[in-house]
Amino acid sequence: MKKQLAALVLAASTMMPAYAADYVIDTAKAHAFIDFRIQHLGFSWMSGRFNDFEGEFSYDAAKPEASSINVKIDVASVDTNFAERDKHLRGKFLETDKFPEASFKSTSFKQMDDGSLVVTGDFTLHGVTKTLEFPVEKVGEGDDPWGGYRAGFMGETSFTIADYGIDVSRLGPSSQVVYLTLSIEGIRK
Amino acid sequence: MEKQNYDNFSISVHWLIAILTIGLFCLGLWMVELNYYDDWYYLGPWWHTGLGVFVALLVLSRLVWRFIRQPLAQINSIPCWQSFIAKLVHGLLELCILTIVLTGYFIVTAKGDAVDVFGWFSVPALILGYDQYVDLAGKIHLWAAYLLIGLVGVHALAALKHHFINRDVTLLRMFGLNKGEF
Repeated sequence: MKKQLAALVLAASTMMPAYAADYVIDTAKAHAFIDFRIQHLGFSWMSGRFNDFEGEFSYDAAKPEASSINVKIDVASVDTNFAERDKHLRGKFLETDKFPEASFKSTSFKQMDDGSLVVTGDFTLHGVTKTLEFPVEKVGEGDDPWGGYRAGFMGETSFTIADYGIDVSRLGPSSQVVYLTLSIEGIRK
Repeated sequence: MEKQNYDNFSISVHWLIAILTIGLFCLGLWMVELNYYDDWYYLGPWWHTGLGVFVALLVLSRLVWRFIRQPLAQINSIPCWQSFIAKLVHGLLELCILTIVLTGYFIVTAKGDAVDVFGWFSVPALILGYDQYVDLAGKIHLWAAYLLIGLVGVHALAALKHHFINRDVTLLRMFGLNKGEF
């Protein structure tokens, strides 16, 4: 009986697909960043970031297309190193009172010929959800010095801000597109 | 002998605060609606914060001066309860201004930037680490300003009532024009 059960479990486990490992994004020790940059008047780049977010991803180097990622951003934590501007962004553009949360939820991962990945997912900002493509590259993975296992990725994408119902026409023609950079390290659960 | 008129310093400070406060209220409401490409986009807040600090200094000097100056004679025709309400409104006016000043200061300095006052000097940031309350401070700043202007209206109407209906010297002595007895 015991043998039969063991055999059954063994058989079942070999039939099961290799599940990708689950990682929690290391926001606790801040090894993850969500940065953005937007042109100022067409003269320079202004960059900022969201300080508070959380998320998880699953990833298996052998099966990268089975990966998934889910990130939630506290939009009110927008930080451009200038309190008055941050207040202005929260109040007049991001409207964080009404839309406190932004999120990205992947729907598919595609591996390109050069080994890089393209994540497609639903990006929600300002109450509007749209499909967003995110080219991503793995930076590295392996054992960390403290007994854990980590994997890290970096990706950048861009989108037209007006697509998310945010009126930035006042900012001038050079400031209609924002570049969003995701730089994350996950600790395997 | 008690004084018949307010002293020149009290009068100047009172009217200066009155003009600046009403001006700052209008400027504040106007400047937050400006477009990025407007000439006054940065100039508006520059004047607003600079003059705001100036008003703060005036109100503080007023509070100090009140302890030092010679007391003003009571106007006998004004009943006790009216004096009490007048004092209450005066106190609220000052409380509103100080609230507006403090929240304004906090909005500018929450991330460590100093308040620049016309390039003459700057007030350093002292309240740090609470920048999640900047939006709340902004709301208090606005609503305290509405309350202040409402109270200014009450204050001004009361002054006009004393002048035109009661025909006493309440308003005159705020211009230093009280010549007669009362």
